[in-house]
Amino acid sequence: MSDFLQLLVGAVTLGAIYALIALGFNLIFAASRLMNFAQGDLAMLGAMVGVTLAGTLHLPFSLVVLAAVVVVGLLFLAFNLGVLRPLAKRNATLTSMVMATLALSMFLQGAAELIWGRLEQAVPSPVGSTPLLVGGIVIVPHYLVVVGTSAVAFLAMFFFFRRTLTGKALLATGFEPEAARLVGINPVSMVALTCFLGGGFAALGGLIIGPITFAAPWMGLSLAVKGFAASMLGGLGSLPGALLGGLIVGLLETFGAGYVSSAYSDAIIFLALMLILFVRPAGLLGSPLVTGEHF
Amino acid sequence: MLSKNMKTVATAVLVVLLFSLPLLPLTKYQLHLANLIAISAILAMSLDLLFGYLGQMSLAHAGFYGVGAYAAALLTTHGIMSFWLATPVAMVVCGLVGVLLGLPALRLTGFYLAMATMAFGIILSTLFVQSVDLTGGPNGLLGINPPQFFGTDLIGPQKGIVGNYYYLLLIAGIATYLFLRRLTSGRTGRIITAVRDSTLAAAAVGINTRIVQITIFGLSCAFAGLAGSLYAHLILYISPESFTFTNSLLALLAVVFGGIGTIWGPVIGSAILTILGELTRSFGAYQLLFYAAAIVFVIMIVPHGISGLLRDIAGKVSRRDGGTASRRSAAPCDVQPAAALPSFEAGKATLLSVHGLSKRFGGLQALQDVGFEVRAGEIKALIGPNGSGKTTLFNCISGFEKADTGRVDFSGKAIRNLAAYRIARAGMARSFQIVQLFTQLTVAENVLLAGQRVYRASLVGTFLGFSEATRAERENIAAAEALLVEAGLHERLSHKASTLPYGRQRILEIARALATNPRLILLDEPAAGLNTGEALQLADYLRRVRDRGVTILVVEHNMAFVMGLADSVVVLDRGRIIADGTPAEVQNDPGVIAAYLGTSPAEAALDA
Repeated sequence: MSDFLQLLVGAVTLGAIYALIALGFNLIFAASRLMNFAQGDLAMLGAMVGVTLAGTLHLPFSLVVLAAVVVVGLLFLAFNLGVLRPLAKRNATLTSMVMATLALSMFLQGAAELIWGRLEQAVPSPVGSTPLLVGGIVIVPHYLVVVGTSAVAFLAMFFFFRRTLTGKALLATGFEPEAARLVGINPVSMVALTCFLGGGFAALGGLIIGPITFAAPWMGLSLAVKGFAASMLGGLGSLPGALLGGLIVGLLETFGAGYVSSAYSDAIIFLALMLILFVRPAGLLGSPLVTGEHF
Repeated sequence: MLSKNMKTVATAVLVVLLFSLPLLPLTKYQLHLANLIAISAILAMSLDLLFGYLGQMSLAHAGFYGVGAYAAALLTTHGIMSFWLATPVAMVVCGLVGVLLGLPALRLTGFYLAMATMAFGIILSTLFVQSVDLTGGPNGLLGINPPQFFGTDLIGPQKGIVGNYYYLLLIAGIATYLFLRRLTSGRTGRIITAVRDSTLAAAAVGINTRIVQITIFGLSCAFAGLAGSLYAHLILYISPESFTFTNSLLALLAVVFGGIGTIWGPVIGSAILTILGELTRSFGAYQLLFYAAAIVFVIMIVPHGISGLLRDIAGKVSRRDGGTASRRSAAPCDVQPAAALPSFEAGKATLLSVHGLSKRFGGLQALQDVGFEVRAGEIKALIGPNGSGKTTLFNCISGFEKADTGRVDFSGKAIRNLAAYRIARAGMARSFQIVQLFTQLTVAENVLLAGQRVYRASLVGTFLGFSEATRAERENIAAAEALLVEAGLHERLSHKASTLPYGRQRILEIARALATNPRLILLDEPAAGLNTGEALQLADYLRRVRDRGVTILVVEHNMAFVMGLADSVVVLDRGRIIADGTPAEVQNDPGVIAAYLGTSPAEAALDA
């Protein structure tokens, strides 16, 4: 039983991180129907910002969080304005847009390697490393930071979408950009906002996974595919879906490694993803209206 | 477009150049590079079939490439069979795995299919690493036997031998190219493009869209397997890192670089990416930056890939030469419409009968015990207020939706809940409320495609260009031209269907339905969005169609249109039939008037 609870603690922690990456992915998808291959690399960049600001410069954690979110958010916003917008203006295909995010992914990975080197680096946690013992279960203090950060981010987003006009305008843009334009919403600024938020949440996920897994330029791909899986499992474009999907991926990975074999934990995640897609393509919490697009 | 002669000469020069490559003073390394390009070209071409023609993205292609490599390598290394047999076997294995994945996965499209294939690719990668007994695990499979040709090794350390393998790859590459070109042009090409453009419309002209999608997916995977076997027997060592998700992305990149949907574009894309990869290999992290810059260059500067760029250049050259591009479209059409058209004997027998048909969507009873008949040779109108279930009824009759209970008989055959393509093949064609054309096909091709089942030829015969297939195609073309002349669309034969104005698109949809040689056509609001003049023209057109013996069942809101056209009218209200008779009877029916105009409370009380 204590084994089970021990694994559960790890699973929820990991799940909270995947949920954040899926949240960013969903935001970007909801507003622009874009499959962002760079999502994992944006998270990696968040972790790298942590390496420098928290590791080398020893800045306070709140400041590091702010910097990571703002820097990466602005970077993806700049990518949107500098690459995606011009492409959209030329009536580029969705394929071109997706390829552009692939280019960003490669660029970020290459650039990170040039700046920070190829090796794994530690990201310091804002809390100590002395484990807490709660009823026989070991809890690394940083786990609480992870779960807390993720919870705050999701609560903020729930509030944003349910209670603010901007949040509702953003949802409207995702559903029907033309109609949104007709009622006076500027879809361009809405997409820009989602890009900033989408990049920011990815960075947050990367920054808080850093103290658990280390940070390295090549960590993005694995985060991206698990973020995709979380997003699809929960329901593409759905906010609670990102949370649920993230937790499921965290559970599958941790319990798969704990009870089956760590070698197969990824395969288990993606097997589950395939089954969900075959049985309920919209995901567990997504709207069952699946819209397929040609690339 | 280049003229045909110039194209032939250019192709011949290219082929001679490719075959004489090993005779040039190239280093062994450069020849090896040519071999790698050939293999990645086969992989990219196989992906283009799926991505460029069927419009579906697979992120598992490197996985299938790996399945082919491991399957062939295991067969030859364990001495079970020679390379020459192992390669086709590996292709079949890959094709079958592809079909097995495709059966559930191809119910998804676009982004969702991309995610499902990504998941499958990652699972395959895990299996390559973990099945240590079979694949050698992370260390890979060593000591693969070199393929032999009449007792001599085809690959080995000497330069001459590298050149021999190059010939093998060149032949395999050209064969793949020719096969895929053939498959994606003519009759089969039209079918693939139609399924991509609109699965609904494709089913409505009798195409089994599932079979087409699964076949193309399987073939695409089989050719990925061919590339895999060729790769394993070139390097003689394979390890999981050649078959990862990243490799799938690179294959996709080669397709986009070269130009989607061209088959030859991805060959160029593969060459560029392979060479770029080799040139920048020593730059470490900068290599990724080069790739990123190259992608941005392609999508920004040459959005249709390198092949698109070359086509534009070639187009400019030939325009200077006088240009031949528009000649085909200007060809006069001298086929007489009536002569070539098949016609049916019109009788007064019942052609379609519907009994007790019901359909429920969740809490909404869309159709309730619906029954009516359509007699052969008549124009019957189905009218009713918005939301009364007309389109649902159409869909249930034509197989696009499954009715819960009831019976539909068509030409004496029970057809309820048959697949839409089967009902279409039985002689029932239809149009859609929202026009469903094959937008990437020309006006002529839209109709030709629909006629393919009438003027049919065996697939093999078509593929090999047998005379019976050529004759069927010629007859199909003549019939299509006749239909298009009758529809007044013959001026626009070689325009993309998407460029027609809305009213003409509606007419084309009907002409396409007629090309399937139907006994009955269902038209869903054909006059919607037409002005009075256009509606009158349409009514004339439909009368001519009826006079040829094609029975028509039409849903329409335009009452003047309906009452002037229809021989009989059936009225649907909230999922029930409330009247069935001649236009005059129906117009004076109090129930119908109430359904359209509503009743005052006093009248309602009287009725009760």
